[in-house]
Amino acid sequence: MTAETLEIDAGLATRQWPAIGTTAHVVVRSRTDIDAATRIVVTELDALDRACSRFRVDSEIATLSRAGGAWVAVSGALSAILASALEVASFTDGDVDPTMGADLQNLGYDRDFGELVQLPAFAPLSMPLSMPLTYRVVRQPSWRDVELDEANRRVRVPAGVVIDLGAIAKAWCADRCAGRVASELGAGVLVSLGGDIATAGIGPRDGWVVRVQDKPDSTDGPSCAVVLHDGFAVATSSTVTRTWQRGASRLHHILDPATRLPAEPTWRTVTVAARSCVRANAASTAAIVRGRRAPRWLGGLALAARLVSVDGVVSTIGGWPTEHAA
Amino acid sequence: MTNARRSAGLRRVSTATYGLVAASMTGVAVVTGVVAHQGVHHGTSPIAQTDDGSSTGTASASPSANTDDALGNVTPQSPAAQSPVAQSPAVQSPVQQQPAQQQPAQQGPVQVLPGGPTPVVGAVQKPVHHHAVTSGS
Repeated sequence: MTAETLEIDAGLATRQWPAIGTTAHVVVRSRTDIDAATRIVVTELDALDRACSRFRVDSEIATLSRAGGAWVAVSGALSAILASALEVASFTDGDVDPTMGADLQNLGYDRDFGELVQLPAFAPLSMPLSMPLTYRVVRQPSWRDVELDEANRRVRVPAGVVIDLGAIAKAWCADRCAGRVASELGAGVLVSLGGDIATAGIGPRDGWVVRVQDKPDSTDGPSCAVVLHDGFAVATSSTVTRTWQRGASRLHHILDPATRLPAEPTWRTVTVAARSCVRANAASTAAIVRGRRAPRWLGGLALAARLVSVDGVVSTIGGWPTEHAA
Repeated sequence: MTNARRSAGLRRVSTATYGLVAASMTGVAVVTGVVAHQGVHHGTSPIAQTDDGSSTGTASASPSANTDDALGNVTPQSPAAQSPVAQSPAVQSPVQQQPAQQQPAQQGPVQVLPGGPTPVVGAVQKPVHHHAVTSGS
């Protein structure tokens, strides 16, 4: 863990550091808990990275991808995360599908995002319609083809499938970290992993203040601040972060399983609050994929959400507070 | 067991996803069998909407042009701007409108900060102190 910072403000202890290609951030109500809370989060992040990193050749999902369709023994962590990912896939009707790793690789997202280089224009994805194509019909593996034997902690995926848990792993870990800190230390805590935020225990009297914005390092674009009550979580998905250039096309990292290409950017950012960060992340990611159909879907789930269209218009739903001009 | 392929039984699911693959694209398998909806709204809000929430529409001066609450009670924050989900201000919504200076209600997972520190399209304001930031990552 490097470049950590520690701040004490309003009785809260805060620490953040770079981890898993993003930033880990822990806030506890008592300074005496910050070291122990940090250790818990570091331990969980390490387990997460060893289990789920697409960019480590020694990770468990890398092993799974090389198994050629055979059963592979997995850790309890990966088994639990995969179970969560499959539940999310079911909950979102397949809009958040963990079997899209090969597609991300083919699109150029094949290494830690910080190391991603802009690829040359050898395969522009916005091809002219006049370009001759040869078609063949193939069956695309999906989350339904993943076999998880939780009792025996083993997994089998079709040969050629690369598991990508990027959509859900951070959220799962945030939930787990917050739960562990609260239960083991008795501390009110907020854990943010790259903007996927979970809370547990008794937080500040006036709630956790969370700023909502497009990008982690920029307040450009519509933003707001809300109070998150104890035990709730919030997550944001965006088509304007983790983007890269491939030929003439600007790509983002949220793929539509129906096309296996970056989702049509109806929304630049969707933020959802829910009881768990996994649920919030699943809903925000699926909302990006669903585009114009997202508000109705979110409304049916009674989830509080904030959607920002590509041209910056903010809409809210399901009890998300209305934002007012200053 | 919440997933069809988990644990006991390991039942093979027959549901399949098929698509047309553009095989000539330098190894990039692109399924083209499903075309994403690409409707674009024209005109200014309120926008006529069909009951599937996906139709394009043209501007109307009448709030009644909004046919129903098909978009799930979305509350547009900037009624005058174009939006895929812009809705007539006259449409009833269960989303509670809060005055900017109202004290936060203790209901629901989120609430606006007292004093309205924020947001709004087109309005740039320094944020108040916050504990964390959620954003695309």
